[in-house]
Amino acid sequence: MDHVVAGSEAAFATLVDRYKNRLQNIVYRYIRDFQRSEDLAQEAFVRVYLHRERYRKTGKFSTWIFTIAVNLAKNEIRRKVRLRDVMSLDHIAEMLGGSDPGIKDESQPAADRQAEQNQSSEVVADAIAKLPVVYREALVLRDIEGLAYEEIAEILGIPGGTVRSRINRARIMLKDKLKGFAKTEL
Amino acid sequence: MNTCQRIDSLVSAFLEHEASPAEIRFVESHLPTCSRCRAQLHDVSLAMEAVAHLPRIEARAEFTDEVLARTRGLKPATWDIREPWILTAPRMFTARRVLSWGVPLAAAAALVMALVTLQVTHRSSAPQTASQITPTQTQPLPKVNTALPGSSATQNSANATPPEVMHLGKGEGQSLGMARDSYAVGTQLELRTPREGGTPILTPVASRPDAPVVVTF
Repeated sequence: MDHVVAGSEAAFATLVDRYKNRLQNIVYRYIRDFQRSEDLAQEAFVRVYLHRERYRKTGKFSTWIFTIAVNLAKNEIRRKVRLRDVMSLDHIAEMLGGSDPGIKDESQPAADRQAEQNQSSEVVADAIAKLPVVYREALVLRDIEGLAYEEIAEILGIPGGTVRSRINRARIMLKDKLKGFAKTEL
Repeated sequence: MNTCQRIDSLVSAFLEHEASPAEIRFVESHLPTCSRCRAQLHDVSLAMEAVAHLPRIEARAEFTDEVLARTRGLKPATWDIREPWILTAPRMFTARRVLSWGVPLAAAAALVMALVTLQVTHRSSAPQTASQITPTQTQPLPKVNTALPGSSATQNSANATPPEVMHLGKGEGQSLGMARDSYAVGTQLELRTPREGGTPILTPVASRPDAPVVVTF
């Protein structure tokens, strides 16, 4: 990161290579839109580059960039909710390819379908996407990204106890959503 | 919280081996007697496993080059990205938030406008309105409390201009900076600056026929 702060493009490229998959994966699990998740992950890196001199060495770089990505993903969800509020359902379906913000249905682009390799993955991904955002984000950061509770608390700006209870609640909610499917497939 | 609800709250800690010894004993003593909680633990562990096996998103090969292209020529920003308002600025403009700060702001703006209008009207129309006050001045003045006695305004009454008549509706007094909001017809007021300084307020004066303002409601 010191080299990035000094303006080294090679160092920045290394940083992007190292984190791009994790970053896009997090954003994708928030919004379930492959194209937009790529745009937002790139935007997160652009912001890191713009604000590289503000990076605090006392904190983990991953926490910093995940926080930026999570905030961008949340803003995207809010934007879609606002769009849903002001536009007709037909327009939403046309623009977003789905009827629920952050949730894609069978009309999603090929890239999205390829992201979920089989039917069970599709069902699990759908179930996660239908969780309320506060539970979804905690679950994604813990069970998909494998982050520590303390790091999740820092990224989301909430106490560690709240993170634990949200993750626990998210898992139970997810279990309920998967109940019918689990008997036959999981 | 009954036993099963307590088990629910401990599901994740138990499955991730983060529960305390006492919590583990509690769960293990309850499970043999409760099929519902056994199923709960089993199903949650299956759900966690399913999430863990979700395919990972792979960024496109061009991803890095595209980011580099976007950052070429960009100078470091001068503001802090961690400042919450930058990332959450649109939230300021949700309907609920606009109401929370917009209404007080509009009220403050209305008060300022009213005070400015009062001052301009008072300065520009005082000589013309002197003839209008005769009827109200003849009525007996009510007994009112002088909120700020001994202010500087009372010391130069000898050369005061004739009073101006103001016609106010109910509730308009306080918005104009009056010490009280309801006075009897003909109450005479002076604009007084408090001893400790600050914004002058309209204050009733009971024994001053030459007070600069007469209020009628």
